[in-house]
Amino acid sequence: MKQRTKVASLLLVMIVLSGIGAVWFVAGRGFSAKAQPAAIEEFLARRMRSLATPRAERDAQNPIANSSEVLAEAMTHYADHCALCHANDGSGDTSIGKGLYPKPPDLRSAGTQGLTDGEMFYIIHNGIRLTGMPAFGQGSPEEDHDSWKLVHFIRHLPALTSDELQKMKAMNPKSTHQIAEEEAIRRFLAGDDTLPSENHRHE
Amino acid sequence: MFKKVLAGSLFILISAALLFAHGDATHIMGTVTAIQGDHVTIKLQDGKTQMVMFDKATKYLTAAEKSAKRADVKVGTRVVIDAKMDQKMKMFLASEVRIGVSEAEAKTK
Repeated sequence: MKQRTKVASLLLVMIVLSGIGAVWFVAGRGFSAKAQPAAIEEFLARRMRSLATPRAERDAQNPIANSSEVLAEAMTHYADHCALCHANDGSGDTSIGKGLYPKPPDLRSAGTQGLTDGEMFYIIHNGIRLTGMPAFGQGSPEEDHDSWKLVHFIRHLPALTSDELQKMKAMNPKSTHQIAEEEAIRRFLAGDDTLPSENHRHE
Repeated sequence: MFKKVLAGSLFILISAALLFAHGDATHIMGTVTAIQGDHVTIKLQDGKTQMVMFDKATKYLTAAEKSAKRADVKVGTRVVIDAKMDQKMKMFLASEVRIGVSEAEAKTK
């Protein structure tokens, strides 16, 4: 057998085996979003994401200087846009976050904090395909100051105080159901057993 | 009379939602009837009781969401507890406890 035929046969066997492996992997695990990605899947996805980030973007420096005003603004933005999936503390421990596949990473962990500012910005601005992470960036990256401010806030997450967490709770978007629920709780704790107002009843 | 009946009916309906779920977290709303170590017994508004355990990570807040202490949880006080089922202990574990007025104070309102 010629060398070329041997290589082609070997490649064909590898492709068939990979196909069988992929079918076995999917059939064995199903399509439930409740599952936790396998370690190899997570590793490959992270590597692919890193490779897909253009070098210039990866090395980009944050053009916004950090300050308490920037952090306060980014905190409001984060509580309103990001916390639904990532949780106020960045843990990803929310009912929506836990239902996604892949799950949002713990933003306080080394896996996220180890990214460059440019990589974080690139993810916020462009989103990540085939995940729950949408592209939040509008306009050109140069004009997207909000996402750069969020990068500062994500860096701050590991040092978030309980006071800041309380403030963020008040900033989280609420459904009419949640507003009615909070009203019922407030009245109960205050010893007010009268009915909530018409606007705040459960529907 | 009609207003009273309507108000009473709606109050019962609201009371029935004492234990409402948020994903895997639950609000437990009621009055503390007993405290034994790390466990408290809560009398829900429908008369049922629910035992909840506290741990080191449990946070305590006043009704105005200001910081409070565990000692502020007393028998007779109204509480709203955010809890998750601890599968190992088969019991609700409190993550946050909001402390309100006592039942005696509520009756004077």
